[in-house]
Amino acid sequence: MSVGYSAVGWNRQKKLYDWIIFGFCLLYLLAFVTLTAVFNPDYTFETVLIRSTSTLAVLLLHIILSIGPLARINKKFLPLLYNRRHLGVTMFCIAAVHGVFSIIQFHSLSNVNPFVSLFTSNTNFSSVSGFPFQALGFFALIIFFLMAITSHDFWLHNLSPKVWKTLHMFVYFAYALIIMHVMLGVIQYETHPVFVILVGVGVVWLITLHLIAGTKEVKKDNQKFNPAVEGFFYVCNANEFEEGRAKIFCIDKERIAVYKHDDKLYAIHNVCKHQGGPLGEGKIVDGCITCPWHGYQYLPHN
Amino acid sequence: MIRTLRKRHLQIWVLWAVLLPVVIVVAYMAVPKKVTQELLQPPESKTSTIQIQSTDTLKSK
Repeated sequence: MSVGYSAVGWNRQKKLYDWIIFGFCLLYLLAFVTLTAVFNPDYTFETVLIRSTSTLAVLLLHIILSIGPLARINKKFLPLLYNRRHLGVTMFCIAAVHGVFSIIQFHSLSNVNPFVSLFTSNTNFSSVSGFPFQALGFFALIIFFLMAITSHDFWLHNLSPKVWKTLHMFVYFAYALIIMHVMLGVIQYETHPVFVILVGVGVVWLITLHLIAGTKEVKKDNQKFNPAVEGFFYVCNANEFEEGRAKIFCIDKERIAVYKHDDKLYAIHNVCKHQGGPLGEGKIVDGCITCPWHGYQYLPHN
Repeated sequence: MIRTLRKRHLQIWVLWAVLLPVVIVVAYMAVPKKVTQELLQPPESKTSTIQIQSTDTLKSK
């Protein structure tokens, strides 16, 4: 890594978010272990660890995938976007603990290589209830690993925003793999309906959020404005702008963010140079237009 | 976010809105039914009290 990059651009807010993430994960794991010890005292430590980390990772994945559309639907959720990377890396670490212990518990007790065993011990691809679900989780973990190690500006710069974003779009594919991993795995023997209901609620929640946010964006893209003066479009009245905030308008298939700062209006291209973030959904911080995704800053006048 | 990316996001979630519920329903329907352990003998049947002599003993008589 070049000397031009620091591991994490720490600030007070990031530290606070990380402490919240750490505290939440710790509390969840403690609660899971305690409840299991009370209700299922026969379970081994490895089983409790595998189950607690798997449920926590799935829960975190749902939270991560909710942040994007929530921030689009309601600006109050925008601060969560700043720390989404940290949440993603945390989720990968917890999922990795689940994966490693599962491989140790189920595939390391024979003379066959655990990774070979993972793919050859069950080849019942034609069965739904007996499907080799562990391989699905393994592939999802590989995607999370690639995302976690490239969750840094060093990689973003070297891979280019387009390649980086394409790679990180694979999280949706990984999410589908995880849902299949859960449904074809644990649900096949933990037959209590509450588990299916929980998975169903999670899936419906995410699909609904993303479809609402997506259709809202399509409506924005289809706005029509009539040219008032040559080269200018009438979009709204000047007094409709909020100080330090922007309104986004789509003109000729191009999104423009119009900011109000010190009683002046500034029109800029809505796409952040860093990673294509929506600049118009950010705000003015220390006199600079600040991208809501990763805090990249621009002077309004240039 | 750029326009093509927004479109792709929406397309993926429309696809998942169709596929994931199907996965959940199919997987749940495939859950093996619990096998109830039934006794081979009905509970009211009792051990037979008839004494049967072995054929060897009969032959010797």
